[in-house]
Amino acid sequence: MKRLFLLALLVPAIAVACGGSDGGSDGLAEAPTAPAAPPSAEPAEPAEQESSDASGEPQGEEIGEQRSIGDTEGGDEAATDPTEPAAEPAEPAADPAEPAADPAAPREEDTSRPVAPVLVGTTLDGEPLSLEDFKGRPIIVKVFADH
Amino acid sequence: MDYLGVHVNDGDDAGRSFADEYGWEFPILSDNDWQQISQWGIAGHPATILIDEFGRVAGGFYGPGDASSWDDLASNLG
Repeated sequence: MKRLFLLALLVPAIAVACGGSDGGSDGLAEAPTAPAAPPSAEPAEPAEQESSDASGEPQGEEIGEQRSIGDTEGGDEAATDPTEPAAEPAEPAADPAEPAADPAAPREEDTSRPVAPVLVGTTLDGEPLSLEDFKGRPIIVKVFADH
Repeated sequence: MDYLGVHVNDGDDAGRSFADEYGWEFPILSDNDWQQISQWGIAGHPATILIDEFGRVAGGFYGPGDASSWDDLASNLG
């Protein structure tokens, strides 16, 4: 009886051991739960690549759109992480552009300076002349006499 | 840089000959009685005044000026 009992215990254990190595149905029923995740994740990645290839004619814009789409879809954390550090370096890139644009930009009016009084009359050649004729560009006024 | 001359004293003929002597070709306003330029607070000559592009007085100096005078004036234009 003891031998029969031991055999009854050993037979299922041996069957499980053999079934797992041989790929038996009982062994696969439990095992597939763990491998099931990788196959489901693998088709998801190519699906994203296909969508990126199909939608992306201009690469730069599409990359940005894909990242934003990935963030809105609530995708993997690994997908959201690379987008955030990519956005941060973009800001310092815009900063150096500002000082470069400042020299080219028109100067702002310095309202602390007094407005030049009216200067209007005729030239030594008899032509009418007004300081207003020069407004919009700097001018040097020379006051002189011949002695 | 544009220039505008304002001639004071001595009449237009004297001013014209002075401008020709120094080869000044910019327009020169006749203001023999100081009626115009006195409104600027100018009380002597020669005087140089810089007007910025907004029609505001950006600086100036009396006398012929030296290199530093012109440099200071130019620095006011940024």
